[in-house]
Amino acid sequence: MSEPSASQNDAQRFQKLLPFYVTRQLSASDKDFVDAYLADNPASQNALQFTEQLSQVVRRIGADRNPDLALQKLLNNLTPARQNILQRLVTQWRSAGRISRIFIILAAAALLRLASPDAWFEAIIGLLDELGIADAALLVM
Amino acid sequence: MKDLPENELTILLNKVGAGDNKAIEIVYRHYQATVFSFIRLRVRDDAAAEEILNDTFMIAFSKSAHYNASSTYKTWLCGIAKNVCGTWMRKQNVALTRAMVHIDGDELEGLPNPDWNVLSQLESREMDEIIRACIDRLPVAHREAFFWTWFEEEPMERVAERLDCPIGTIKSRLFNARAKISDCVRNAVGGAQAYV
Repeated sequence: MSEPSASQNDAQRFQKLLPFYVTRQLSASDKDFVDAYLADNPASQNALQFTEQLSQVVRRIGADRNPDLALQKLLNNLTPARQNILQRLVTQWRSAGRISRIFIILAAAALLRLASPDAWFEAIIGLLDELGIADAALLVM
Repeated sequence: MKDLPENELTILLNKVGAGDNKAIEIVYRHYQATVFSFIRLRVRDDAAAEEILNDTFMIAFSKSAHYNASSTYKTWLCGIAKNVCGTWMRKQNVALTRAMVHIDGDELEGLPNPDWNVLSQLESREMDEIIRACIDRLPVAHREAFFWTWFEEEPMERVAERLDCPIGTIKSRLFNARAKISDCVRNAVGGAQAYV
């Protein structure tokens, strides 16, 4: 196979640089080369226009969709997922044995007492009320 | 699209981990267009792309503590999206049932001169639809090169790094893809000969 001529080399270099010319990502020397090639070869404007239109089509992918709808769906999906975690904790709590529950409550009370000596009792009662665990609250009292 | 500043992102992701819907909304709005485009170019189906986008953010937001900033958050999201796309593709068996343009390697030399003037034959909106359909027929490696080059407007060195191949391969891949789309468009508008 014969070696490509200088003009073929230039044409190939031009084609290879075009995708990045349209996004202005070329070095100054490469950009100057493309500008000069376009000036010397008016027919190459077609290749430039084709590449520009192609890049615009890619940039417009998804432009006509409404992200609000997708966001709302995502938030709706995330909320039950978070609730499931809480439900699992409550279920585990309820399935724990009486001794285990007493131990957990006493441990929590001790921690709260260390962290907040003045309000630990009210805090743990409030927490238990929040969880709706009345029997456990009575055990603490 | 630029990533959110690191400090801002860290604060937001901590809030996301705590279930703060406002933080979720900010992160989602910033990244959703990029991730959607990345997905859409892989799966070639708008409805599936929406589902995969939702799944991608569900995973990302439920595992926000797993993001360790070793890559950009955009790269991390696209990594999740790529995995979800792979799962979806396997389920749908899309790879075996959809017709694809066959491209031999990434060689540039020896190709005929494509007819770039083919675009002048149609209205621009109609042409956009045809081009989009032709893009969908390219192999995934070429579509992914389009995404990083034109949607994200990254320099060629970065695109090559992302696709784990030499810069010359990226240049040739982009040329081959454009030539094939010119061919595909010519066929779509009724011409029998793609190259002149």
